[in-house]
Amino acid sequence: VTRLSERLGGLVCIVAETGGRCGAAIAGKFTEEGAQVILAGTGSSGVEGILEVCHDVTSEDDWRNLMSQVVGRHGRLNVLVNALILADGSSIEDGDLGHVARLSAVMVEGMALGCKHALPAMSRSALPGAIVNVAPSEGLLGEPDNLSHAIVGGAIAALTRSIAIHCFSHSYNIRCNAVLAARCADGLEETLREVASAAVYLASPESGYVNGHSVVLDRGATSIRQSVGAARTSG
Amino acid sequence: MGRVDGKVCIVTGGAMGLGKADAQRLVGEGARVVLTDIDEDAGSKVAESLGDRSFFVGHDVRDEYQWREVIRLTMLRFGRLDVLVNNAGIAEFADIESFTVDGWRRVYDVSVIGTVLGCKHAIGAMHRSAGNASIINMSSTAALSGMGLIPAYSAAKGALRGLTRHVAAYCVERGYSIRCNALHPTSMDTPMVAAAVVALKDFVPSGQRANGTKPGSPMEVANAVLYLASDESLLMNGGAIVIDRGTTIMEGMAP
Repeated sequence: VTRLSERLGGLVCIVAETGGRCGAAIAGKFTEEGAQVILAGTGSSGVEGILEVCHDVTSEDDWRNLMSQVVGRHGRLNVLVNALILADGSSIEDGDLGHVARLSAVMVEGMALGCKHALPAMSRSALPGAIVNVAPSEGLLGEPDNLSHAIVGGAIAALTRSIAIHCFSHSYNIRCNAVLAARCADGLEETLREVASAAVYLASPESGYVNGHSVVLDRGATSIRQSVGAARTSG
Repeated sequence: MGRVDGKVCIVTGGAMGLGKADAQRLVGEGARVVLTDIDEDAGSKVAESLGDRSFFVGHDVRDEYQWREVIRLTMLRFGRLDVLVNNAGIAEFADIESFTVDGWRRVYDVSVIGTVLGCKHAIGAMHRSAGNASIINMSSTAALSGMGLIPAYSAAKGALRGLTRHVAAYCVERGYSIRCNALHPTSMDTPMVAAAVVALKDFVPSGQRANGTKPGSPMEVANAVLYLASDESLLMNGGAIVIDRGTTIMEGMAP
């Protein structure tokens, strides 16, 4: 039964995650809002009442299988949330620039693979589709020892625009937006809650005219010059 | 449970179009709304339709004395202030080679001076109310991509983007719990846009389409206003949401 107050009522949503609590927080909030959620990732988040499946976001076979399972079980896919967050700590002078490659493989390539396989499933549904990509806001503004997040954050904002344009040019009724959050890998309660709220807004029909854009959750760090330190450290 | 239960909001330009939709959406989610507009007949009717959770104040946003009165009446009737939606704005067509200073100032004063005065007088009342406050400034896609026939409107909406960052910074520096963000909607289905389409016929050679895009529902904007007014967006400050179906990232492609 769909209640009017449910903002995601009747929507079948995949939340893809790679550990940490971000995906679980989004899955929990989406369930509260009436979505049927499949949490795909480590398979061990332990959120009650949510179907969890083990899923390697870097494996194209896994994405293919996930889509056929979800469409087979629910008959459609309406929303994909990519919450592929890994912690950073890399700098340009590190001996091991492999960190950038490892994070890119999961956070950017994993996301691109998810979108690639979600689009055919979503475009077959009669309902509008929405893709929400969660990424570090450090792609907009540098921070020390956050080289990988700067690179993948920038890439994901560009990827998000590119997918929005692709869907438009193919006449798919699918929107693609990003939530760019500061220190998104730290697992702070407030950040988890607010990322989940932004994801609800961008996944729901309420944001039907928002496409190819980013909602930036950074306490104003990208907009405020004098107070960047204060903006980052407050709360 | 409404998403803005207990919050008190001021919406300027609330007699019609986007402001009216914002007020309806906010009241529907549990807020009380002070509706202001220069059009007293239409504004009163909207406030009446919203019941005792709303009242109307006749208000020219360019007038500083009237802003003091709006804030005073808000505090008197509802006892607090949490949200200000600086929505009032007008558009006039001219081009950069033939505009008049009077015409420029009409557009600029309503949008920019009206919004500056709103921020100036709301900040103190919001701080005293000691909640999570939010100021929402109505910019436009005209601040993001150029349009040839609305020089004053484009400049005014661009000014609001800068002003938004300033107010966000000021409130962080002061330690106030007041966020300030901007919205950039494309043309929506409002009386202002309908009048603009008629007025455009004087400017655009016949047979040439000025804008083939079907305007969206004002609710698209009201939903974003609700998100920014609520505590769901506490980490968003000095930022913006673009409500344009993606047109500003694919200029030349979108219809």
